[in-house]
Amino acid sequence: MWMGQYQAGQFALVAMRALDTSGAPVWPEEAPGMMVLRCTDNTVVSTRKIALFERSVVGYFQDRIQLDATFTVGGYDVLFTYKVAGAQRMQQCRFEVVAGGDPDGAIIAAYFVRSDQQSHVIIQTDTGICARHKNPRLY
Amino acid sequence: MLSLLSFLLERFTPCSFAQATNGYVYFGNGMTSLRKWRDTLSMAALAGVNTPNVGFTIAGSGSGTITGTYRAYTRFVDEDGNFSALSPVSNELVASNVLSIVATGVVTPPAGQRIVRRQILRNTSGQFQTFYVDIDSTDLATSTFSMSRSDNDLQTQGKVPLFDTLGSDIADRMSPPRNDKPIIAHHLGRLFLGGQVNASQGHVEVTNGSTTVQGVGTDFRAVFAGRVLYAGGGSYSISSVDLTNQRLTLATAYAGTTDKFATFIVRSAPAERNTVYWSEAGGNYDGWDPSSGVAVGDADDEVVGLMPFGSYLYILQRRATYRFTYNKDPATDGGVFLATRRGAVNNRVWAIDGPRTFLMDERGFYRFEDGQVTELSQSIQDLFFRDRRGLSINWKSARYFHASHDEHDNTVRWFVSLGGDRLPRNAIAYNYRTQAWWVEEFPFPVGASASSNTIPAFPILGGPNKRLYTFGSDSRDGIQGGGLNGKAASAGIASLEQRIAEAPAAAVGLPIAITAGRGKGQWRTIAAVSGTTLRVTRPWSIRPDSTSEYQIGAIPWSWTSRLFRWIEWESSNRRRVELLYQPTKNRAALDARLYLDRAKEPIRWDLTFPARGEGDAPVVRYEARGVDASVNLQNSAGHAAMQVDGSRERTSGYPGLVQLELRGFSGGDPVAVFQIRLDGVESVED
Repeated sequence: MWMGQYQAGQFALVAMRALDTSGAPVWPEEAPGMMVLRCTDNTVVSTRKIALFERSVVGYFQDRIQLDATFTVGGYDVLFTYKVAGAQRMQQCRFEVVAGGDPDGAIIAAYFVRSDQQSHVIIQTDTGICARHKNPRLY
Repeated sequence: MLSLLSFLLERFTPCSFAQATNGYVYFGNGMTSLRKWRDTLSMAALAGVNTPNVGFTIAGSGSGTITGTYRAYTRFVDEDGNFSALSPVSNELVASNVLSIVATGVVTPPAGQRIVRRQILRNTSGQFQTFYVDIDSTDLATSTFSMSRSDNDLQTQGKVPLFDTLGSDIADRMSPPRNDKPIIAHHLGRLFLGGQVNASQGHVEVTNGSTTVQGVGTDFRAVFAGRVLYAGGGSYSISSVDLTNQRLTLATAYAGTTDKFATFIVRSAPAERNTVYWSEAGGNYDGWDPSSGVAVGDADDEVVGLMPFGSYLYILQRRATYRFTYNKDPATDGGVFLATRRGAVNNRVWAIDGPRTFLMDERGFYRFEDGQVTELSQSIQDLFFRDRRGLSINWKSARYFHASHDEHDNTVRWFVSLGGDRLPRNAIAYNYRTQAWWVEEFPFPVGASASSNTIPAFPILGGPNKRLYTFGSDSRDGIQGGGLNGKAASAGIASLEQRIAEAPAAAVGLPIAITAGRGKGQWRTIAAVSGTTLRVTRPWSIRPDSTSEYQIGAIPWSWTSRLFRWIEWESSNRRRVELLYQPTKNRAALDARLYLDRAKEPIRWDLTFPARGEGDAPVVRYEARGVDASVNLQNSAGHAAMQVDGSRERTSGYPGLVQLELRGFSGGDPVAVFQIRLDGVESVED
């Protein structure tokens, strides 16, 4: 399943729905594992479990992958593995990282500070970074 | 220039900021310890000074003149001279003619706290109300100190009373600030903390009878220790957090049903929802008495904001606002009074303009002035309907909503999500002079705003890629200068070829619009610039070609008239659209569209009359079978007229309702339309 194009600093939305052998949605034995591989060389970029989306939607799991500096431009495969009634099952999706963007993410909080000699804007981004712009000006 | 201050902040909860009179900016979001920064520091520091958490022992040594009953404490001192609270008290020593009192096992300070000194405090024999600084050392490594002052000598040292004049214990008043409060404000020389965060990202695996909770897709933080986990219908105090493995250890075993996919919330104890705390007086912003707080408002509501306004601190709940006032000490002469039964969505949706403030709550927008509320948003109230189809506020992203006040054009903008975006891409704008409302859409998410503390103040907007923006400096978004428009040579699925490589590297991240020709009206973001090639983030819906014209930094705009009715006898009531506009220096156009009888699609102009031009630069151009009458804004006359022949417009059920839309993209010049005239129409009662 194609999950779209993203830039560095954005969050790639990936999702899967656990199915049984008849194709019906089902809760797996535990949270599915998720492995992200770079398409060019099958390097494993990330491995973890994926969380459920909502308890009311059977077997649906969703995650937002933070596209930090390890996610260079290119395609990425996401492999999901899970067990249903003891049987191992797998699903796959793909997304692409395109040029542009900033791995430090988007600003979600900002504050202007003025001292005697200079001004600053303290920012917080959605990747957990706190930084300051010194003497911001128009350009 | 951008400099890193900290990288330990949780990702999805916006910080709150407050600048104190000591020059520090304090900030936090309730998911990490409160931090502070000023421009003498390269990195942000932790606010407050951690309390020594372990006591030590004292014993007599040698033969001398020290006689009496003694206890001792230790405390830390940071670079700014802030003291920590006192450690647990030492053992009690009954000394008889000893030479010195030796303290052993004195705790060393933790790293990363900017602690530069340790002090050991000791009483004079016979009283335990006041202690004195016996040791003040820059040695942070040793755990053994020797005290040899006599009582007379000790009394000349720094005095540290343990109780105030009312007998209240003040030993803990220098505790670090709480780390579970996401809202901070400065008011009358004190900092205030309030609110509560709910952590619910991911899900947990819980097992009946176990104290271990495994997180999946979670972001458990160290500060969760001491908070409460709500899962499986129960609540459990959290003892400790394993950050690496994302595991919680509960104080008591989980009593619910074993569940591999349990939803959960981690937050503070229920009483903290509506409790506001304050720092000590006298500019001591790093010392907090854990008991210095007040519970506010309705128990079934929650504190979402703190707003210093005038001489009061307003405590904002979701459905009410309270006024908090005090003279010297909030604990003794403070009072909380209900100000209004209107509240706020969060701590960022208010904007102050002199004696009034503009706010947004879940019911709408309103003005608060002189203790009175004035409803503002009656005309746009349908945006607040939760089950409405079409344009409406996405309340799931409410934590990111924020307000920006532009003093230059008397406008307050509330940045909200009107679609599925996590961060706001739209602004609901209100001009408080003309009382006009409109909606703006931005080419990128605007996650935050601030106001420069300058004269005049200007709004600052935070966007993607750590970029900051402001309003009004140009008629294009994000860039100034030339080389920003032209005709395309060709286009790919997600690219456009310029005829000349003119776009600068700074164009990355900016919007690009197709303003004429094939694919007109499309609006994308530039992902990369390479020679003549501009790559965009999303593929074109209609691929441009060599007839297409583009504008970098273009700002799309649209204006729609109210409904009118054609006057029935067209033969004596000519139907025409006439525009008066400011001629532009650079290439620019606007499109006029007519909608009849509430149709979703506009009429086709050329069914009425053939496309016509007047020389090389026709004032109005009509596309074959097109819906746009394109007005060339470069024409120096500044006037355009479009005849509308209604003889074909006999649609069934003819009420003859007509609505005009003007739309286009801004370019190198602002677009100014002075007058719009519709001939052959009459007003329609609303």
